[in-house]
Amino acid sequence: MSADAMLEPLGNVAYVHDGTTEGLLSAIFQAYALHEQPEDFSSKAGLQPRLGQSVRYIETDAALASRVKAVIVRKAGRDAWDAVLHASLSDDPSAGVAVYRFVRHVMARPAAANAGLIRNMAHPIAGPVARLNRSVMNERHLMLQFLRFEHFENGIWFAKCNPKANVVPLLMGWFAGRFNTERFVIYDEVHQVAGIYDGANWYIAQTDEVHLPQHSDEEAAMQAAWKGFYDAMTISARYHPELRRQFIPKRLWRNIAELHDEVADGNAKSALPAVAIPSGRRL
Amino acid sequence: MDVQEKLEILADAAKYDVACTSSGLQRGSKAGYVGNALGAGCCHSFTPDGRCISLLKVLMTNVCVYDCAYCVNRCSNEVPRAAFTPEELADLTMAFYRRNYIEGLFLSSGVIGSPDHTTELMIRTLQLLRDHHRFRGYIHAKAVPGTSPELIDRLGHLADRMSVNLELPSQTSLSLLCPQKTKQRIIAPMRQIRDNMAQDRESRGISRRSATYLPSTRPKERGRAFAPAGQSTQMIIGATPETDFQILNLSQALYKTLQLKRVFFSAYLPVSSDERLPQNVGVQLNREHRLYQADWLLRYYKFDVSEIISASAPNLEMDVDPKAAWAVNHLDLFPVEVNTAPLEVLLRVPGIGPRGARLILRARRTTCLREGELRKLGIAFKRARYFITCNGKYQGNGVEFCPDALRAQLASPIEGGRHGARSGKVLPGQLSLFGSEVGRAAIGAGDKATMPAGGAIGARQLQGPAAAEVAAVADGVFGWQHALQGRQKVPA
Repeated sequence: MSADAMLEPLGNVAYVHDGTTEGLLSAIFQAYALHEQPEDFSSKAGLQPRLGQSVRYIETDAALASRVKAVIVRKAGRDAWDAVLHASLSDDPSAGVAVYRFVRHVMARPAAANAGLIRNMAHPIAGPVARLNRSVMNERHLMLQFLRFEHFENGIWFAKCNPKANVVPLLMGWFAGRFNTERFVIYDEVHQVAGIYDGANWYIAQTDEVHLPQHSDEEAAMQAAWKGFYDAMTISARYHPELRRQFIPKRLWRNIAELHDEVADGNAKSALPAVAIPSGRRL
Repeated sequence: MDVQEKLEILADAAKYDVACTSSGLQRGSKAGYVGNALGAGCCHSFTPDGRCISLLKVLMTNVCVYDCAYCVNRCSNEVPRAAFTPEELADLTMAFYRRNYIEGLFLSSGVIGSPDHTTELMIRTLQLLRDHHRFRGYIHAKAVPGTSPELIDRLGHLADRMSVNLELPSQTSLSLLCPQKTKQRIIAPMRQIRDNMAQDRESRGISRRSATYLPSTRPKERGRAFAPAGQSTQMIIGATPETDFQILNLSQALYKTLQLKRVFFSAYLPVSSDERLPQNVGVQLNREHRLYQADWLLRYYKFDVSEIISASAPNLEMDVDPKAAWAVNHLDLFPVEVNTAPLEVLLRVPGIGPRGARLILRARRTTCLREGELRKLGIAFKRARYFITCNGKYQGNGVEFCPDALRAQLASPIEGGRHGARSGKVLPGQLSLFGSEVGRAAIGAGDKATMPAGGAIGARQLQGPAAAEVAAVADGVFGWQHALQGRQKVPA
């Protein structure tokens, strides 16, 4: 870092990090260390330099990231840190800059002046972070609603999802509590992130390879029973598909067991063979 | 018959029950147990009609000894009958829950044998779930009218929410359409559930309070709370000629006397060819929608029912929502200054809800709110603008500040989608139930002669002579509110 600090600060510069929260916080740290005011923060995949813009690649450093975290908590409170964490998981390309501006704003003022700042949606600097926080948490809630687990023969429960933000880390605590007696994997096929719960702790893994064993015996029957229940609940006199689409965004349908048949292309999943549930059998 | 067939029959039989919410209870997870509960509830799917599926809503059995005219499960209706065993239902619930299909179980039942026998089957199912499967998710149980109080007590300690169906908004209609049910039989369990909840809260309060300065240990054996998510009820709208005025007055009486969490309305759909019921009427979905809007005003916006609706105009307006209707009729109170108005005044502004009002309170400590800021807060500015000033400047955009002009701006026909019964293919005239000869001939409008008796006693709950008059008219011949107040003995 000392070698970097000798360099002349760059004027029009974009910071590129690895796309994780730690990467973004490291980049914010470096902006202070190098006395630069970057105009963009982006992940490697999302990089689109502006005309004449120089690019600085930032190494992710967990120690620097935790220093930035500590200062946000001290200066703006734990709520603000949560909002920053959630905002950094957003896919929105402006998220990095919103977080950077927010950090600069709270750093420049005494902690007392920042109390409750993050709840002020109308604030020009805190507002964008608060809105990103809200949209990521809404996406998380959609996943709480519409994640569908399937049972595999080795006893693992597996759920595939395609959220708009990298919300798997925010889901793991909820599902690890709710299904603490089971072992499960949640896989985000958009961000290629897997959350793994082994019965005691959970981990996050970055992978694009998923090899699944056979479904367990009762899985096909349970999916058929659920589809049957779903169809039986429908009151045809109230038919109102626009309302349903408003509640369940169509982009999620291909991973929702009772709806993936209704998706136009229908290639999302191969249908499981139909098997009847024997009466009185333990499921 | 395999479980899937049973499930389809019994889900189909339960689908007209409206209360599919999993809200009102926040319960964390616990090692070794399955499940938790979210205070705001969680919807896991939505049917093609846009209603949420939050719980596995099934009947224990659709065999029923009653013959209620409006019900698909009446004993005279020829439908396939089925019954779950408690083991089957508990296993199915757990299998669906583990797949994240549902938030818990909604268990109702037709009356098989006797109410006590039916409730015992339900208790057996819930015991399996809670004790054998160690299930901590949400359970909503229907109390069957006529069940003995001991069984209701046991059921309530296993379930999270209890409900008893009021079925119809008036007693006359009830005695006409389901002659085997009486209002006392329905209200007695509701009252018991309220009392048990209060008792349970009190005893829990005492056990938590420390009487000495010595460190107290928590009681080792902690029983389940009685219906911690409260009590709800539902009634069918549009099968009988009650007005919105009567229905909303009844709702408010239920909230006040029985401390219900929710009153659900279910638009009547012709499911039987009984001559006592209207047949050729459109579905009363838009009416149901307006009633729910009014219900929200009662529960979250601190409105009193007398502000929403009056005896002289006994039905809610169809072209504007009840809050906007109230606002354009009270223009002397507007416009209000968003930068200074207190919370209860902001809540009265169309376009500002409880969440928006709280965001305004928070934001205006540091920021002067103008149009741009208000839009950023996410309130419905295009509705609110006619009723507010921002820093002294009226936001009304050149529209004349008079009821007719504002009504035209705020008109919000209910969006019924492009398909189905609400898509506008039915002409407004066809939707009218009360103009239809069937409805009138069946129930009759001539029952007014008996009105004073029910009304005079029903008036006791409200204060002041004017309020008493309102209640008398609202309760009318119908007597539900009268029954809520009175302390009649329940016929055995």
